Amino acid sequence: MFKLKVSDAKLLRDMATAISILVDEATFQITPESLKLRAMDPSRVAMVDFEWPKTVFEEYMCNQPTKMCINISELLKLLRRVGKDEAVELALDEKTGRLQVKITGKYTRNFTMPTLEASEEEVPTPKITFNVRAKATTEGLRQAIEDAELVSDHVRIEADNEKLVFQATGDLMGATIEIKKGSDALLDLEAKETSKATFSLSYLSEIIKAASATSDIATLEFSSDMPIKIDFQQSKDGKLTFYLAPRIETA
Amino acid sequence: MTHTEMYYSEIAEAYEKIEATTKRLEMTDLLVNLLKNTPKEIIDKVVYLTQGKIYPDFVKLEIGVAERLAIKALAHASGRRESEIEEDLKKSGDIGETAQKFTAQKRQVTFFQKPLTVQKVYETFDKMAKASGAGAVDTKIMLLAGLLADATPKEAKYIMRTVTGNLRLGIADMTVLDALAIAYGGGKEARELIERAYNISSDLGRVAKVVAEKGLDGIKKFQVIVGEPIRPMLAERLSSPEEILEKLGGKCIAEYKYDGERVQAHKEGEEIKLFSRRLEDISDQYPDAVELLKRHVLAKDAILEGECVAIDPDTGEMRPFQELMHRRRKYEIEKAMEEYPISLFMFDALYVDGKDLTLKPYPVRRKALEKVVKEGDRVKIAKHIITSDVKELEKFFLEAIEDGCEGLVCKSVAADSVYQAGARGWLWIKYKRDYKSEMTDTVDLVVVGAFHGRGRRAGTYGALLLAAYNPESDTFETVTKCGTGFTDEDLAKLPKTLKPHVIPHKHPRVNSIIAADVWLEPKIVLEILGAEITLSPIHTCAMNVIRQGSGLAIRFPRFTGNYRLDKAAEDATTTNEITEMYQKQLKKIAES
Repeated sequence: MFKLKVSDAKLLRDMATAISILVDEATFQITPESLKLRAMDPSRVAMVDFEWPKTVFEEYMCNQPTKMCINISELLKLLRRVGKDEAVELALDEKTGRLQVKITGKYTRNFTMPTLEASEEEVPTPKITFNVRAKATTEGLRQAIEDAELVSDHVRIEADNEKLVFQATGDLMGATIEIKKGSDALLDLEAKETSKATFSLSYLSEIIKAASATSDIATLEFSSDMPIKIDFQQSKDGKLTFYLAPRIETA
Repeated sequence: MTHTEMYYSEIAEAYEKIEATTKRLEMTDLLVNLLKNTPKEIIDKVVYLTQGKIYPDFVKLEIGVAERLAIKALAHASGRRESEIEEDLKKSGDIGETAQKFTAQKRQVTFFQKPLTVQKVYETFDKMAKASGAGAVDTKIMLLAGLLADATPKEAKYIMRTVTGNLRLGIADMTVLDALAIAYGGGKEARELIERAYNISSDLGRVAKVVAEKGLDGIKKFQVIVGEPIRPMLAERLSSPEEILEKLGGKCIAEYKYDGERVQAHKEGEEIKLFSRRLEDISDQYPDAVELLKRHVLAKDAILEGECVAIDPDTGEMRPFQELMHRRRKYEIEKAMEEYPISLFMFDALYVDGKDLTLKPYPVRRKALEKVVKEGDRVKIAKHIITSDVKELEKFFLEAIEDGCEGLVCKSVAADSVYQAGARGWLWIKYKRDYKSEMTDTVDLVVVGAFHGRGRRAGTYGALLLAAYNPESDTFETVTKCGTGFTDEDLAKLPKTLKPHVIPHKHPRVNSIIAADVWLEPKIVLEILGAEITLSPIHTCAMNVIRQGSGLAIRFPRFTGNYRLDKAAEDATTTNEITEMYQKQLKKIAES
């Protein structure tokens, strides 16, 4: 049994949008302390790690840990109907096994939606030693990614202690986007060693676009030819982190 | 991994070996091995998969992945560009080969790979088949990409071939039955029993599961289930009534062989499903047939067989089979229903309210059918006679042809005349024509009688009795009954046009066996186009000229709209001309 009330419905909608980039059916864990989800996309290329402690909510009630799986795009359809200054309440009807979505504002709307069989798959967080740590504005990252997308479908991210470089090479065109330490877009940069890794732009761009609605600042961590971790700083106590596996680039 | 699980790689390896052999026996052996190694709980799924499917044929769902979509999924899973994949596919011509190659050379790293189980693959295929609505295409791509992410190159090859409908291992249903008999039935001798179970269920998966879990005892108790089509019994063919009667022991039930689509109707309470001869669910093509059967089948549950025939909406006459093709569409079925209405002619009852009739002789099944079908305008029991007379059979045959049928089906009335599901045997014998005479030119015929219209044509005439002129005897001999081709305006005017010529009895110069509702003085000449000229016992045109006891008739006649006001009745096409047309155009019918 749980009942979770979010006063800022837009925040919930943006979060659900970010999660929906990777998964259709999302299995959430609701514990007395927090709402969380860790999931991998069906191709096992990207992973999302999300957590909202109870302090994010206006009301939070959960008497025992519960797993709940829902179709996230169906939930999004409802959340898109939410107006400004409206609150959303999520509760599980234990009798019917359905999720009740209550939207309160000028008037009250009650929706119900089915819950699905929860996934039993445990998704571990990757244990990786990161050599680069870069703190950047999500706006700056978006621009760099959009530039790279003009010429290719993948991008090499390279960093040393001076700069963060996005390099894309297409069949005909190429692009190099360089962000120097101390620029407005790059707030911090540490590199134990010069590192570079290549990633799929379709994943990167969708993740960054969706997550930047929830966050202005992101921390990138990566090492040569290893997965990248992108942590989107949340205004409240929440956590939204993505991991993306690299591509192998032959000559 | 529990004992009920199985790795997909085992299936992929079996596929590879099966693909490499051309010998049926070797293929059977390989299949026997695979089935023996399959956990019984999932043997049905494995059987469907070996046939490149996930359900029995009569289930309408398909995985349905177009090549374009498969390329997208492969690009996603391998991190390669769609253009690279397309280029390779052009060379290989096989999406399986291409998937194998690109899976071996992935650019995209994944967090981990989990060996694919048969269950996982099957469930994913099942989800893909059931995906519907706006996001269905994306859902399918992501599900397929997910499978490919975990697949080995070899597995990717077979997954891709399966989802695109290109598995084609060439394992026939009969090979699966052989393999099941050897693997779980104790040997090849069990094949006959297992085959019967298949013939009454059309579901290889269910048969496999029953024989694997319950052995031959289970198979012996196998029952017909409403909703699972019974494989149709087929007829042999002979071309003379003498041979037919001899083969059937001197006596038979002869039925019209309607020129329509054979349907097997399954009624379960209020729900009705129609299956085609090839066991496809065609209920959506015939919503009117579904409605008719709801009203005309008196049993709660039943499996009945009949022929669905296109009819002329105005005259109620049967139209050729081709017109039913207008029903083979997904959209605007309502419109097709109006323009191409159908009638049902029922001929067999295989199951009625809990009773499996398939092992009962045909006369018993027909009795059951007559009891359970309430006949009406558009639902009838197939027209039939019981006969042991060659002449009577021949006459009935010609009537059938003229009424727009293909011929007759003559059925055994013996004690052993069971429903031989899935078999072609001598209990049913088709009697079709060897020759037909197609018409290419129009003829000018004289109106000698008329029939009252019904329904939309109430108040005017529904059809006209037409005759050709015989100058030798100076008589008019009937050759066809025509109600097609008249515009609404023509129809409205008919009573007025014909009125001056109405006479109280048949005109002395008219030679007719058919009794018209209204007789007319032979005056008005119409231009008519027919499909063919056929022998007829009921039309008098050229009677006894071609064959003793038969005249000639025009099949599927249509008024061209042209009143030959310039012609007197004696200027109409002569009976000799029609005889010549018949002889000139006579061609052997190629066996279809």
